[in-house]
Amino acid sequence: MKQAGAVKGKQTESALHRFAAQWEVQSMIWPGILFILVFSYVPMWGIILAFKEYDIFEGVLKSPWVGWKQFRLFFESPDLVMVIRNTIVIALLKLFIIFPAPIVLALMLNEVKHMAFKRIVQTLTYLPHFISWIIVSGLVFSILSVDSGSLNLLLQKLGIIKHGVNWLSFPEYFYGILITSGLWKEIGFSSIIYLAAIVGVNPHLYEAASIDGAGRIRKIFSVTLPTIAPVITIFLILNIGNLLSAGFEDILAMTNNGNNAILRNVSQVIDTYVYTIGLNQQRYSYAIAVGLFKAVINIMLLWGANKLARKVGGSSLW
Amino acid sequence: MKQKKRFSAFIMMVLAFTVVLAACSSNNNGKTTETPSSKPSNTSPQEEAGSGDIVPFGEQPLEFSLYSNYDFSTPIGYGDDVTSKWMKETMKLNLIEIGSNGNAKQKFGTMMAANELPDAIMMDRGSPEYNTMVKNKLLVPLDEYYEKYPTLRNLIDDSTFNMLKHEDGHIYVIPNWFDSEKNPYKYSNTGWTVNRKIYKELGEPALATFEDLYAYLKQVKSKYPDVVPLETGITMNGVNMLFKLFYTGYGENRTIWNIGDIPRFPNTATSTMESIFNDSAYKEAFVWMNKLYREGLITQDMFTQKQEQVVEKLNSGRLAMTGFSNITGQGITANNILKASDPDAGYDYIPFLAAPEVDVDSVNPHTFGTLGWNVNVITSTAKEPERIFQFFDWFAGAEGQRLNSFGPPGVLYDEVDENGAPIDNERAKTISAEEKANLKLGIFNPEGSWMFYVIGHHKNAQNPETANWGNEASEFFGKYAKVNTDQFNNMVIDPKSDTGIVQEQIKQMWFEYNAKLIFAKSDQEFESTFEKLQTGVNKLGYDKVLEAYTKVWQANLELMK
Repeated sequence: MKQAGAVKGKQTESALHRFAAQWEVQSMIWPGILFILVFSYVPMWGIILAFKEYDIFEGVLKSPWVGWKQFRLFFESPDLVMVIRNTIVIALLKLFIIFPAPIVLALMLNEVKHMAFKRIVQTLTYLPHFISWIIVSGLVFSILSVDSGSLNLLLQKLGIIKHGVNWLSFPEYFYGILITSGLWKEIGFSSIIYLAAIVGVNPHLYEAASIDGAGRIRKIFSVTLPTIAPVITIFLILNIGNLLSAGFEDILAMTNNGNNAILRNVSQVIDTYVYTIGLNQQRYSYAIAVGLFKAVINIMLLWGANKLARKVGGSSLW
Repeated sequence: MKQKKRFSAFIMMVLAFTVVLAACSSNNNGKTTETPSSKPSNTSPQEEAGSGDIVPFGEQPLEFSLYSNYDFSTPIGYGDDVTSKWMKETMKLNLIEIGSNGNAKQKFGTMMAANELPDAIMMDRGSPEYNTMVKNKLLVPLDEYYEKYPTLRNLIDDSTFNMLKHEDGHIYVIPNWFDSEKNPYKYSNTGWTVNRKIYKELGEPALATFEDLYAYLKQVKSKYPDVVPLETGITMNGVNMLFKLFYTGYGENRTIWNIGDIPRFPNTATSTMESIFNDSAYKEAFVWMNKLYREGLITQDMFTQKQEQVVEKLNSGRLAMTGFSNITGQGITANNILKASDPDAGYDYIPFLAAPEVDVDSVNPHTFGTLGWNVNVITSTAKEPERIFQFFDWFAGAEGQRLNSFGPPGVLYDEVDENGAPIDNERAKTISAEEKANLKLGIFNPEGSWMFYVIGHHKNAQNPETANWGNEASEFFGKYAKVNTDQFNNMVIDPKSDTGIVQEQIKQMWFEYNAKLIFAKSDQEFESTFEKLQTGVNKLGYDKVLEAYTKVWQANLELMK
């Protein structure tokens, strides 16, 4: 009833009038609402397919109901443990490395006093964001290839290794390659939001800290970080809510569209699994069931993280 | 309170909007299911055939879209090379190529779901895609056309024609690269080749067994550090062609066909499909691959490299030996490029190698089949199915097959001999290798018939000195074909059935273990990996899949009687 209170006394005004008066604001919100409706809510009815055996020619409504069969198949599948394990491992690696890295970069950039240098670093770090994963993977492949790959050439010239190492054929290197390339690609762009938050910190707080005798490091920990903490919290909650979306494009591109057999055991995550089964083997219903399973877990994680954040720090999504 | 009312009005509006959208999408779905049935495709050919006034191919403009359902299929740029340009300008055919974007299954699924079928599709015979399309009446039955246009029908053997029919008695397919009992010249695109220059410089040592091979590769590695001793090519569905060449080196009935996504051993005495683990050669072949990999004698990034990388190495002469598929096609370009800068450079095909203590004469890796590689089908969305069939019928004949490897008349030939083989004109005799490579002959081949082999043979016979390397190599490799694979046709299990799901799980396991076996770092690791693979697939239900294959095999044998 908050809204009702806010407009009290303007009851004679018609809804249309008020809408017209707020058109600038309204025109900003409506595309968003439409987008969410069309792309997130309308397709949601397709969830029923998880309980059916979808036949592309029968259509959604005529395909036969099969109950929980698709879920049962997933839980009995020999792939289950591997897929869940990879998803969690990659997700945690991303949460602990790729999530905090831009914050560190933003804090560091904030300390740079030389403006030109700061701008150059910022531009160079956020440019890779606009390169598609396919191109990034092409770069990675050619850097890491055995036959005249630059990393192998460098290490050979330095005498560290004798023969070229086939980096992408060792499961133990995969996470390193995936996280490093992801970090390179996204660190700059993700840091923009934190830089913006840091700019918003009240300069008086820094002055006060200086008067109290705080050094640069002290100021980062006692002024900057606590002030941007709400922004960090919100992004952390959103990240946790997406925990099971461990990656898709990046993993597919790095594994040659899943064709790198030697990496399958460490690289197959829920999203790539859904893609392989659903689109490549045309078992649509099974793929939808797996996807739904992931979505449900993600919602629970989001809710849990939000609740925890509210209890601990006070700032939360809702 | 009014505000609350407005809020609920808003919600109502949103809901109404959602319903409208949902209704729109379900309408579309209705269309998807109804179009094929409301226009029963098996009546359209009769109607069209009845109308009669169809002129010969090439006299009136024809346009249709062709999709090739393979990951590796990329549009050639219709009209850019000399052959398709001629097709476009002289034969008035405008072909709209649809690419698979490197992921055919996904592309096919999307086109189906969106109800945007191409007019014609090149696909695997008996594949799930084919079967679902027939089931849903999305393909045009071609029975009438086969009667009306005789070129194809005369080229296809009667028994082959029967095998190609669907269970409903109609024929929906045009076989591609099909063969015939009548064809004396067999072609095959896979075999071993050596780099002529390196081989000569190393004194042309004997290359007949795997031991010779091993000794030779070691020599190459020590003397040519920048060269890949033996190239494996890219891996297709997790399996290397090179591995298959090792396996078939053990002779007898061991053919390339045995090693599919799910390897199996056909026991021709009992007509049952048996476990590949009963065949010791299967493991032996992996031992060779593992050994050569560990010693750095074969491509080290065989599972990660891309086709472009392979072609680059091939064309720059940085491979001492090759053992991958379609070397006959890619070798032509490579040989032309290498010869352009050095007349002595290039690749030579050599006989198939045999395992130690195996009779070289018993090595017959290739199989032959009259059914062909795959099929072309015409979909019910095609506006002029009869004229599309007419095109394929024309292309399967001598004129079309000549285009396949020699290009259009007026470029390198103006006349043909009594066997239909083109006779080189002045330009053909003087053209430089580089210029010839730029003509891009042979990249436009929507349909292949065995006329191609006949013409190719006679062309090569005209003058051995100017013979086409690819044709020569293909004919050479083709001699090693003993087992007829028509009996193994249609060995496909529905992926949604219980056996289908098991099959898929086994495939995945094999996919992974093929690589693990080759990459094993020690003998112990190799042994335990092999052990794990064997127990793993058996546990998943390998025997059930073999049983299903056996059923298909025996049914085929019945059909062929």
